[in-house]
Amino acid sequence: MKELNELKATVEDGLAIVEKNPNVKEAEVYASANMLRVMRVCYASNIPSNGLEEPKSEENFGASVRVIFKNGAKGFGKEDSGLDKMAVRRAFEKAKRNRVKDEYFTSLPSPAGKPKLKNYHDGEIMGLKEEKAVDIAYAALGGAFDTLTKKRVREGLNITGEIDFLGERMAIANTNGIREQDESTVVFGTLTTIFETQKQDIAGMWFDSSTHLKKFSPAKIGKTSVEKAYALRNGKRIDSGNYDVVLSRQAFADMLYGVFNVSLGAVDSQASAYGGMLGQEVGPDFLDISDDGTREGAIGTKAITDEGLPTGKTEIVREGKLVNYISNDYYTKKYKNDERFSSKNGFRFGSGAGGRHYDSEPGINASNVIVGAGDRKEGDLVRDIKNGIYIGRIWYTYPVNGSLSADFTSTIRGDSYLIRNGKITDALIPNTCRINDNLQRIMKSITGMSKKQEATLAWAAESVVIAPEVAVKDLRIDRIAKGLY
Amino acid sequence: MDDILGKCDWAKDIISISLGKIANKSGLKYADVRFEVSEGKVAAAIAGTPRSAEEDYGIGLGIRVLADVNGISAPGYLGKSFGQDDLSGLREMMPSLYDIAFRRAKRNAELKAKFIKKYRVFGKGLHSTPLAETPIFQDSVGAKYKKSPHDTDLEQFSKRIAGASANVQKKKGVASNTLAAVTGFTRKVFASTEGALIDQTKALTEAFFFIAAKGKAMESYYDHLGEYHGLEAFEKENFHSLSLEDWAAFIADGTIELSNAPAVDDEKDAVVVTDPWYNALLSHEITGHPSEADRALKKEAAWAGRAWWFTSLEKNKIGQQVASEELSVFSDPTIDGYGYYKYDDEGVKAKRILNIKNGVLNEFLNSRETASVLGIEPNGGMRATSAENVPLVRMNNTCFAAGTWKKDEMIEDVKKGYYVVGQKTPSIGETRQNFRITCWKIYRIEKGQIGQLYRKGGLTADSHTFLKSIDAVGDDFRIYNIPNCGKGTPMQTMRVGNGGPHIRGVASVTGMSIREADP
Repeated sequence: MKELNELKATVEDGLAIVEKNPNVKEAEVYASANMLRVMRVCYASNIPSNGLEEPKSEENFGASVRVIFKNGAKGFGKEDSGLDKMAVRRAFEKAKRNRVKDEYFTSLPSPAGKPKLKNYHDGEIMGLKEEKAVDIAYAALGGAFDTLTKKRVREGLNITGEIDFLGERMAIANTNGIREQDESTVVFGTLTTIFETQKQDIAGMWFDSSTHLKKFSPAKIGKTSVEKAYALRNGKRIDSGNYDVVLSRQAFADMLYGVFNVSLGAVDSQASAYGGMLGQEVGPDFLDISDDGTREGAIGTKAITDEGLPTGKTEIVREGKLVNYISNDYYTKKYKNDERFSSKNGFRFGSGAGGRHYDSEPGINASNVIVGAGDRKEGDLVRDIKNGIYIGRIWYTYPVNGSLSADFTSTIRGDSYLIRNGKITDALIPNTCRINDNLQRIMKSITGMSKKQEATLAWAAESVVIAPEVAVKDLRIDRIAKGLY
Repeated sequence: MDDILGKCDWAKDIISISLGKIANKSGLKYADVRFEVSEGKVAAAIAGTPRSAEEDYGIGLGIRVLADVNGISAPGYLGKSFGQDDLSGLREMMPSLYDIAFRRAKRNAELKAKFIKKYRVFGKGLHSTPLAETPIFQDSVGAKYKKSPHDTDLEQFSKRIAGASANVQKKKGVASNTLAAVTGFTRKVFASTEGALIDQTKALTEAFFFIAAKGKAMESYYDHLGEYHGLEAFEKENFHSLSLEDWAAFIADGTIELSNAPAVDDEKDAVVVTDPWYNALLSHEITGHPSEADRALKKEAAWAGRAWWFTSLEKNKIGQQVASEELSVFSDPTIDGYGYYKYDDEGVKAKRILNIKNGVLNEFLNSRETASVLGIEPNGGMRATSAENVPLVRMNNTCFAAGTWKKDEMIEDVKKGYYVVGQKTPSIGETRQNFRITCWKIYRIEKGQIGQLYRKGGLTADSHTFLKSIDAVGDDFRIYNIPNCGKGTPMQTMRVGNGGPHIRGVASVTGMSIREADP
C-alpha cells in the first residue's frame, strides 16, 4: 500500500504544476490509496462448502485534480495508479477537457481550522500479512464450531459472513491554502449462524468492529452468533397487528440507514423525506441525533474530510426537533445565506467497496451517526411493554414509496422475541413477519431509549450508526410465509 | 486516450504467457485471470444545470488461484486497478500478483485441512473446492452497436443531457430533476491455466433519471434507460422505444399526474394484472435471485439471503410444482438485454436454461463449483461487476416466458381488481419467500375497464402463493434492463435483463395511507 509521504508529495508537487497554468483560477490536487481485504466465510453442514469462500482484496491508488478556470467553468480529472508528476499532468488535462459551467460551483474549500485527531490508525492493519487475514477468518469460524460443540448442535448448520480489513490514506492540497493528509484503519467482522432443521429455521447474528486489530475478537463473533441462534429455538409466530416494540440498536440503525436521509444534497434535489422540515418536531424531546466524524475509536471516524476540512459534530436532531442537515463545501456555499450548514461531511467514498477514492468528486456522506443515549437501564424498556416484541434484526429496509416519503418496509430476520407482561417469553421465528410503517411516525412514537449505546453495521455502508435500544409504540407488523419449505 | 481498448491485445499475450509459467507451480491446481478495460463519457445535470462531465477510462485485473495442500484445495483471489503506466510493467508485475493470491489460497487450504481434522463432525461440511469440467474456448466477441459511443464528443453529450434536464424542469409541477448518462465500451479478457482465452467487448449507453413532482402531494420517481448498444439506444432503440428526451418527458408527465392522484388503500387478496415493466422487477426478485445456485447452496445467507425452495441437496423443490402451470421462467444470456454475454467470467459458454418449466422448478443458474455440488453441467452464470471483483452467480436475462393471452382479454375478465404499471422499489424476504414491491402507477379495474389512477401503490404476497395464483400469461413479452442488482461483499452492482409479458394473479395491494406521519 502506498505510503502517506508519497501521497503528500503528489499533491504538493502536483499543485505546483497545476497552479502555474494561466487559465487556472483555483486548483486542488487529491491523492488516495486503499487496501481492502475481505475474507468471506461460508460453511454449511449438509452442503459441501469452503469454510473460507473468498479470501480476496481490492487495491487502488491514484490522483485527481479539481480546477476552477478563469472563465468560471470547473473541471475534474483523475489518473489511476499514478502518483508522479506525469499522473497529475494527465489528470489536469482531463480536468480541462471535462469542464462544465455550474453557476453554483464558485470556489474550492478554504482552510477551516486544524483536525482534532492525529495518528489514530493501526499500523498492523495497514501492513497485514496475507496469511494472518486468513487465520483471523478461520478463528471466527472456529469460535462458532467450538460453541456448537458445547451446545451439541450438529445438523442443518449454515454459517456465513465476513471479516474485512480496510486501510485508507489520503492527501489534499489546494490553492486556497489547504494542505492536509489522513490515514485510518478499520477491522470489521460479522457472522450469521442459521439452524435449519425439520422443526426450525432460525438465525443469530453477531459482529465486532474496531479501528485496531488488538481490540477485535473474531472467535467471539463466531461464539456469539451461535449463542444468538441457539436462544431462538422453539420460536413462535405472531398474527398481523400493531405492536409496542423495543428496537435493538441494529434494528433502529437499519431504519436510519435506509430511510433517514438528511444530506443537504438530497434535500436540494428534492430527494429526501426530511426536506423543508428544519425546525419541525420529528421525535420526542429526549431524541438527539448527530453526526460526529471525530469520535475516537469509532469506525466512521476521519480526521479530515476529502475536501481537506476538519471533521466535526453536526447536530441533526436536538431535543426532538430537526435542526440541521449534513453537507459538503459545494452545498454549504450554494446555501450560503443559511449559517446552519457546514462542510463537515464532504467525502469521496466509493460505492460498496470501502475506502476514500481519488476517482470521484466529494459527495455528502455521514461518518458516525450518533443517536443520543436515553435514561433507561438495560431491560427497563421491555418491562414497560405488556404485549409486544423485541426486534433484534431486520432486513431489506427500503423506502418503498420513493425517497420523498418515509414509508418503508422490512422483514424481521432474527434475534427477536415476544414480550408478555414486561418479560421476554418466547423467540419469534425469523422471516415470518414484515414491518410496514413510516419512519417519521415511528420517530414520533418513541417512548424510551436505553442508556447504553453501541455501534451497528450495514451492508455496503461507509458510515456507522451508534445507537441505544429504542422503544416504539404501535408498530405495524404483518404475518408472512415462513422462510423455507 | 489513444485506443485504450487496444491495450487488451497486448495484455492478452502477457497474461497467457504468465499463466503458462505458473501452471506447473507446486501446489497450484488452477488459476485464471480477468483483465478489463473500459472507456466512456459520463455527464450529469440537476434541474438543467450541468453538474459534471467526464471522459475517461479504467483498467482492472482479477486473479483466482486454487491451491492444493495434501489433496485439499481452496481458493484465493486478488483484485487490482491499473493506470496506463502500469501496463508497461505488467509482465514483471504478474508473478507477484499471482503470489499474493496463491498465498491466500494456500493458507486457506492448510486451515481447511486442519479444520476437517480438528472438527470431525463439522468438517464433513467442508470440501476440497471442485471445478466441474467444461469445454475450453479461445474466442473473440465484438460489440454490438449501430452508432458508436465515439460518435459524440463530451461537450455535445453533456449539452444533450443538460438540455433534456432543462426541458423537463420547465414542465409545470416539476420540483426538481436529475439526469445522468454514460456511453462507452468495455473489453475484457479471460484466460486460464486450462488454456481458455476469451476476449469480449460490449458497448453501453444508459441514463438515470430522478424526478420530484409537486401536485396535491409530493411524488418522486427514479428510472433508468439503457442497452448494451451504441448511441442508437438514446434514439428509440431501447426497451421503452423512446428517445432519451421523450423518455424523460414521459416519466416526468406520469409522475406529475401521480402527484395529483389519491393514495391507494390497502386491499387484501386482489386480482392484479401486472405489466411487463413491473414484471421485470417481480421476475428478478421472486424467481431470478432464488434461481442462483450460490444462494440456494447458502453461500450468500448473511447478506443476500437464501432460496425458499432449497433446504438441502436432499430436501428441495427441484422437479416439484412451485408455480402455476401457466408460468415458465427462463434465463437466456444469448438474447439482447443487460444479461447478454457469450461467455461468463469462468469462460463457460452461455446458454439458455429453463429455471421453471410449466410451474415446475427445473434448473439453477450456476458456477463451475456449484454445478459440481449439484451434479449438473456448468451453465455459465458467473459474472463480476468489474475485473477487480470476484465473480458470483448472477441472473442474466431472467424472465417470465410468454404465454398466449392478449392483455386486453386478461383485463376484460376482471370484475374488480388492479392494473399495475412500472416498477419502483422492492423489499423481499430473506429466502425470497415473501415480497413487497411497489409500482409507478396503479389503476383500479372495474368490470373489465381500467379506471382510477392511484399513487403509492404496490403488491405484497408470499411468493409461492402468488406464483401458484397466476392464471393468465400474456403474449406481449418484453425485457426491461435493470442496472443496479446488488450482491456480494463488497457490494457488486450488476446489470441484468428481466421482464416477461403481462400476467394475472392474486396479491394484496399495499398503500401506506393509513400510516402517514402525523402532520
